[in-house]
Amino acid sequence: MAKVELLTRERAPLLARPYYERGDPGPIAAALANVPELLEATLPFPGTVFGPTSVAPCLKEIVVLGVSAANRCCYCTETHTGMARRMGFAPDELAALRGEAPPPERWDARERALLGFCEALSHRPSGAVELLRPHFDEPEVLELVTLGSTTVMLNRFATALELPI
Amino acid sequence: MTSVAQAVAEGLIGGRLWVYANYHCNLACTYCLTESAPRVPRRQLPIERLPEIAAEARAEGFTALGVTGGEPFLVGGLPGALAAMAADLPTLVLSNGTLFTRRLLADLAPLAGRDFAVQVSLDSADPAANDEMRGPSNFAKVIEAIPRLRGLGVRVRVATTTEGLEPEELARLCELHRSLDVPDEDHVVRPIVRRGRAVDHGLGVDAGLADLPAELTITADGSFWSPFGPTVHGGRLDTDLLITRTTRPLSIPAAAMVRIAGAAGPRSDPAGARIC
Repeated sequence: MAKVELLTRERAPLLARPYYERGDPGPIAAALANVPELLEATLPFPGTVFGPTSVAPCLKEIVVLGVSAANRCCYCTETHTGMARRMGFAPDELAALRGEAPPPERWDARERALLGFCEALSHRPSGAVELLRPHFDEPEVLELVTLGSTTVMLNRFATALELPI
Repeated sequence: MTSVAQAVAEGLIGGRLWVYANYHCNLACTYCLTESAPRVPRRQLPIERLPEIAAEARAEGFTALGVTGGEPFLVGGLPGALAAMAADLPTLVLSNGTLFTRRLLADLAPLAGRDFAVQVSLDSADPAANDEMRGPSNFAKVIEAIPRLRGLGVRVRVATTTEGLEPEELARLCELHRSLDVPDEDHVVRPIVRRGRAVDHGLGVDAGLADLPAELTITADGSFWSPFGPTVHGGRLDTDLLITRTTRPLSIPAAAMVRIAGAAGPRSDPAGARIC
């Protein structure tokens, strides 16, 4: 059970109602709806960061799932394991991203660098960017740091509030 | 012209800004929107915040103020706060009319002759019928309070909240308020809204966004679409008409209110309320 009320459609405040138009908005939005002005400001940000950008979606998913697992966020790890599976990640890749196995032999240097980056960003972030530099250009590095940092924020949010999976 | 003033002029929102001074009350009326009673959480706005809100409301372009609760006169220092508010904008305070002791009336004396009114609740010309909904001896206290307030030079309005009055009942009620020198234009008759305690008693009419007056309402819990918005049911605050949790500065909820009202479009007069 979440630590805050997850507002239902019937109790959704006026500014939050658009997020309920297509059904259950999910626990992050339903929690943020308690402070609708925060919901309005907060949700578009991960929507942009997690959405289509110049970095390939499968690389971004490595970061989101890898960071969530490194931060031991049950909600984000389980949610993104399902998402990564639907994107075509194989079981051994999912196990690696969840921190349960080493990365598969077939992974290239970029994928391995991303996995290392997830761990570093979560525990010793001052050296994390150096792991990316040989494989990604400056805008991509910035994007991956933004993506990883946003994931950390959501990890903390979901874990602190014990959002249900 | 501010965005609020423009929205008021265009009929998108009402000009009156409401403030819930508190949620507790010495009564426990059967249809109370906020489940107010003596021992409920007070949810009280700091008294010094009321004049601040009034000053901000004036700057934002609101044209009048309303203070409600709970029973606002349970809040210490309210008369002084009302005087400060009335210096900024015409101010109306809603009261159950049972607390107007000689001392309170003396505190209200500086408001005599100002653009200020007290609206007391009176639901029937029949004492027993009134008191059944509002509590023992309520009728007698209200009938006693009205001349005292008027004698002070304070304008008094009478509000009747009802499931539906027969014409003869309404006529008797109007006869009563006229006998107390409260003119017809100061008698408001409005339906019970099915929120709060009225739900438990199966009273009132359902009302949503489109049915309720678009009048920004500030409470200790946040800002709401209407004074009928910050209702409480089962001890839990209703959030369906919540606008923002942020109430300071007032510009934040005011801007959100205008934005929502703009999307909803111009409004006709709120359903139900009428002058006898």
